[in-house]
Parts: sequence; C-alpha cells; structure tokens
Amino acid sequence: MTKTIECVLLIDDDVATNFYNKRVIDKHEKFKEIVIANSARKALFYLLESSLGKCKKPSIIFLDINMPGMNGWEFLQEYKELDETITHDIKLIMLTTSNSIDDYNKSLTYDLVNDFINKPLSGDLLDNLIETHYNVINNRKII
Amino acid sequence: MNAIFYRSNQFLKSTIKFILIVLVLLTSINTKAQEENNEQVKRLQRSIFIFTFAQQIQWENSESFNTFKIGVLGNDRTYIDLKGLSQKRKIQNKKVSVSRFNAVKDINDVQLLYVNKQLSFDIDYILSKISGKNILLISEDYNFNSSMINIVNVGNSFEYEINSELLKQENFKVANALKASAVSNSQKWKDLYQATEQSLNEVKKENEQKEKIIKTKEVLIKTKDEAINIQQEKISTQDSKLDTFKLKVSKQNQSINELGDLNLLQQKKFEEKLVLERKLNDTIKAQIKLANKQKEAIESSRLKIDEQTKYLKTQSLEIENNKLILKSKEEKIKRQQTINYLLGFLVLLTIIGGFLMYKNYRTEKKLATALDEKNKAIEENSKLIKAKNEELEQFAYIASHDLKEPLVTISGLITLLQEDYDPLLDETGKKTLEYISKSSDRMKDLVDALLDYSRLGKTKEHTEVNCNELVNTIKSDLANIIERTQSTLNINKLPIVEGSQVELRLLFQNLISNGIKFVKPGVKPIIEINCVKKNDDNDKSKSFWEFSIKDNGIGIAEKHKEKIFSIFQRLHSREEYEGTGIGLAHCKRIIEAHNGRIRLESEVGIGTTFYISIPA
Repeated sequence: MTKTIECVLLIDDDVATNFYNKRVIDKHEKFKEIVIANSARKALFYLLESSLGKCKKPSIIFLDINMPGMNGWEFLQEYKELDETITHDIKLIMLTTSNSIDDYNKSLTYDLVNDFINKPLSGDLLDNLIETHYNVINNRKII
Repeated sequence: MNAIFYRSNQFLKSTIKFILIVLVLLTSINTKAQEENNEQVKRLQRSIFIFTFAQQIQWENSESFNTFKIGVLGNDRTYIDLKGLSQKRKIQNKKVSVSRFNAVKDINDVQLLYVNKQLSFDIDYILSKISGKNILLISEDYNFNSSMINIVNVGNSFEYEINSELLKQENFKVANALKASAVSNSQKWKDLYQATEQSLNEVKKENEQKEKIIKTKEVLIKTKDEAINIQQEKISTQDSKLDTFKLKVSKQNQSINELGDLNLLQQKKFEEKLVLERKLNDTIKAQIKLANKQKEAIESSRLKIDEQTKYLKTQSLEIENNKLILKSKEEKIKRQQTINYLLGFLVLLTIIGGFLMYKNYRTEKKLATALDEKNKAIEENSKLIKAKNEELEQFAYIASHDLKEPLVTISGLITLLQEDYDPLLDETGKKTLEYISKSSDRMKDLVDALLDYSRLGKTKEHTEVNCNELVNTIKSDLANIIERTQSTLNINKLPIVEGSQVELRLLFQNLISNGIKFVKPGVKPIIEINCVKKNDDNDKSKSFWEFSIKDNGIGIAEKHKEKIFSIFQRLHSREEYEGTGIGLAHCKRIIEAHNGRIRLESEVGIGTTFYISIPA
C-alpha cells in the first residue's frame, strides 16, 4: 500500500547537489514531479504561488540548512508564518551534510519539521522516508 | 824696681846708692828684729798717749755725747792701734769709737782728731775747719805751738807740747798734771833736738867707718852700673813706646770729651723725664684718691657680704634640710623611673608589635589586591580563551561542514556514474571511478573525524555511567567484527562513574577497536578490561578509578608513546591497518574533558596496556 508522491520541492543553492538529488529522486518510481528552488526566497515565493493555484503544490520539501542569503533556519521562520492551509499537508525534511547534534536538536524545536536526514540522498533513504511518513504516520526515527 | 826711678838717670843712681848703703848698714848692725819690737811698743805708747790726753782734758759739751768718738785723718795705722785700745779702755766713762777721714772737709762729729805730719795735711787748714766744733786736735811731729797738742818722737819714746792758748780758745780745760809734764817752751824743744844731735854724731862716726867698707863695695856697684846702663837703653825704647801710648791717651781723652757732650744731652733728656715723672706723680696721686674711695666702697660691700654670709648660712641649713627631703624624693623618683622604663619598654613593644601587625596587614592587603587583580586577569584571560576556543570550534565546524558538502555530492555523483554508466566504461575507467570514490569516502571520514574532534568535550551533560553496561553495549555493537576476528573480551567488574555517556562510549569503543585492529595477522586478539580504585599521591583525600585495557597486539615503540595521541597521526600504512588516525586523539580529548589522564605501557610484539584514570 504505497502512495505516489505528486510533487517534490528541493531547496538547495548548489546546482550539483540539485542535479544529483533530482537524478536520485527521478530514478525512484514513487516520485512524480520535482521542482527545484536554488534559494530559500524562491522556495517561499513558489509556495505562495502554489497556494494561489498558479503552480503545483509540493507534498514534500527537502530543505538544506547552509545557504547564502536566507538559510534553512530563516526559511523555517518564514515557513512557520505561512497559512496552515498551505503547510498542513506538506512533509518538511531537513536534508543536510551536517551531522551535528546541535543542528538536529534545533530541528526538533520546529513542529513543522518532519525529518532530519544526512546527505547524500539515496534510493534507500527515499524508501525509508516513504515508509516512515506515508505508511507509519508520526513515527520519527532518530538517526 | 819702682817706676819713679825712671825719671832721671842721675837721681836714680844716687837713690840706688843710698838704698844700698842703708841696706848694708842695716844688715851689718843686725838690729832689724829689735827695731820692729821698738816700733810695736811705740805704736801702743802713742795710743796710750792719745787716750791719756783725752782723759786729762775736759770737754765743754761732755754731757751731749754718750760715746767718745776719735777720728784719724788719712791712711794711718794709728787708726788700727786706737781701735784695738778702744776695745779695752773707756774715756771719761764713755765707750770709745774710732773712725777714719780721708779728707779734712769730711771731719765731722768727733771729740778727738789725730793727724800725723807724715801724711802732709796742712795743720792751719785743719784747725780752721774744726774750730768751734769742740774737737781736740792731737798732731804728731808738727812744728812747735802749731797744733793743740803735738806729740814728738824722741828716740824710742814720745814727748808732747800743749798749746794752752788755743785750747783755751776752743774751751778745753787741761788738767795740771798734763801741763807739768809737757814741753813748755821753744828752748826746751831745742834742747831736745841737741840731745838727739849728739847721738846722731856718734852714729856719724860709726858711719864713716862703714863708708870705707862701702867704697870697696862701690867698685862692685860700678860693674852693676854698666848693667844698669844697658837696662836704661831698654828703658829709653820703652819711653818712646810710652810716648805713643800717651798719644793714644790724648786721643782717648778727646773721645772722653765727646762723651761729656753726650752726657750733657742726656742730662737734658733726663730733665725732660723729670717733668714727665712729675706728671706721672700727679696721676698717681689722683689714682691713690680713687683707690681710697674704692677702699671705702669695698668696706661697705664687705659689710654687705658679711650680712649675706649670715643669710647664706641660714640658707645652707635650709638646703641641708631640703637635701634630706630630696633624697627621699629621689628614691621615690628612682622607683617611679624604673616603673616608667618598664612601662616605656612595654609601650615600645606594643608599638613595634602594632607596627609589625600593620605592616603584615598592609602586605596581606597588597597581596590580596594583587591576587584579586591577577584573578581578574586570569578570569578575563579564561573568558578570552573560552571565546577563542568557541570561535575555533565554530571555525572547525563550519570549515569541515563546508568541506564535507561538496564531498558528499562528489561521492553521490560517482555512485550515479557507477550505477548508470558502468557498461560504457572500460576497466581503467571503472578503476579510476573506484579510486575517486574511495578517496572521497576517506576524505569524508577525515572531515567527520575533524568535526567530531571539534565537538568533543563540549558536552556538559554528565550522568552516572555504568561502565559494565557501557562496555557490554559496545561488545554487542562490535559483535560482527569480534566474531570475524575471533577476539576475546575479558571484562572484569567495572565501577559506575560520572561522565558523558556518549563520549565515554566513544572512548571505550576506540580503545577496544584498536585492540582488535592492531594485531599481527593470524593472531587472535585478547582484550582484558580492569579497574582499580587508587588514592591521589598529591591529595590523599582524593581518589580515582584507574581502568586498564590490555591487548596482545603489536605494541607501541617507546618513541611513539606521545606521538600517537596527536590528531591524524598514523604509524602504519592504510594498506596494513586502516583508519583515520584520530582515534587516540579523540580518547585523549575525552579523558581530559573528564579531568582524567591517559597513558600506556607497551612492549613491541607483546602487547599494550592503556591506563585511564577518572576521578572517583
């Protein structure tokens, strides 16, 4: 009983990372559409647009922490301010190189953050995510 | 020879002849000794005569003198004779004194004057001088009636004549007895001379006889004349010498005259001095007056002094009393003084003590302030160090994070390449991709290790950690590798310590992993974990746990004992023993964060024991 994920929003400033992540997600049969925002601001803008029906609303977001301009944490501050109608059915996954315990603990303070995973993204990780967030609901696994 | 004989030769000759004759006569008669005796008798006779005259004559003023004074005129031996007699006899019941006068004018204050004609004094001059002075003149051998009483030498005796008129004039009274035996007139006087002439003629006859003898002797004398002539010549030369001498004398006379002039001058000066002396006299008189006045003043002050001495006496009595009182008081004072000294000493001691205490306090205060300042500085420094450390850790974290990100992408992309394009690559391409993948994986491990290292010790959350449980967890985590290497883990009883669970787990895991990893190929690792409680050597109240992790591995050489605890230090190639080389660095950092120590004992080829101490 698996569900197909219609739209993925990738928020990362690094083109190579986006390229790699897109490739990994593309290869996975459960993900249909991928939208890439190379800055946190663009991502916010996209989310607002999608709420107006101008574009497809993502059901899962992969958020990088370390970004120029607005970083992951600052994005989360803005994201929190968005209308619940937008955010309530979106899974927000922190996808970062950091394996810092501090970063992880900080992520826990945001209710809207659903998971915290380390790069690089892989098919296994995606499998794991679907299993965690779409079949067994509210079971957050500590890495 | 006498000087007078030099005057004329003729006179000299005759005189010498005469003397010689006399000499011959005297020697021939040989009456020298008898004559001497006669002379002495005559001298005594003369004195007796004089004394008898004085006794027989009355002085008008006989009551006005107590002593009968006899004067002798000229240098006459009679003076001695009279003096001798005066010792034995008195005149008119009065003591007799005899004096001598050299000149007629000196005659004064005598009752009787004796003069001999031999001394050639002018009798009239004498008489005029003594006239009216009650002086009886007794002369010898002067002419008849020329003196008052004149005595004449007749043979071996004396006759005398008295000038009655003159004696009357001078108010002398002559006793009759004296008048009777005196030669009374000039006829008698002549008879006296004729008697002596007869005896003289007899002597002349004798002399004629003797002349014959003399004539014979004249011949002898003639010869002597010649000798005398020779001497006369000598005398004439001496005469000339005398003449020159006379010249000198005249010159000296001149100089004497000059000296006389000088004398005059000095006399004038003397007169001036006299004037001065008079003035001096005046001043002396004035001073005497002044002295007299001062005498009076002194007298009055003496009186005052007397009064004051009385007053002083009373005061000295008082002083004596006061002294007694003072003595008693002094004793009291002395006692007081000793007490005072003691008190002073005590005060001094307290002052010194106080001073020392104050000084001590000051130094302590200074030290305290210094310590405070240092503490502050240390605090600031530690704050600074803390900030720096945090900064450094932040830097290490950010740097490693940023390094890791592209690395992750690389390894991901390689995986994609290997998965999707593997059939398109030949063997070299595949090998290359494999190396790239491994290298980036290793780099990722290094960056991770670095990140871990920067994070270690940051954890402040310390809990009670059961070491046995901890090690068992590790054992189960490493179950695969333990099984694969056929390792044996002997774990004895371990304590519960206070610390970071995560970090202590990493510590033990690293050490156990090392023990399993660093063995010679084919050797089955045996690891033994023990723990004992020990006391601190420096502080007995403190104790600590000492864990020992012993293996049978390859061992560590002595020279590497320190080096192995440094970050990324490896002793072997990755092909021999894989790993990042950060394991022991992590261990050291963790144990130091727990206020503990890590050391090792090792023997190459036999095994290593790591000792970990953690405060109990």
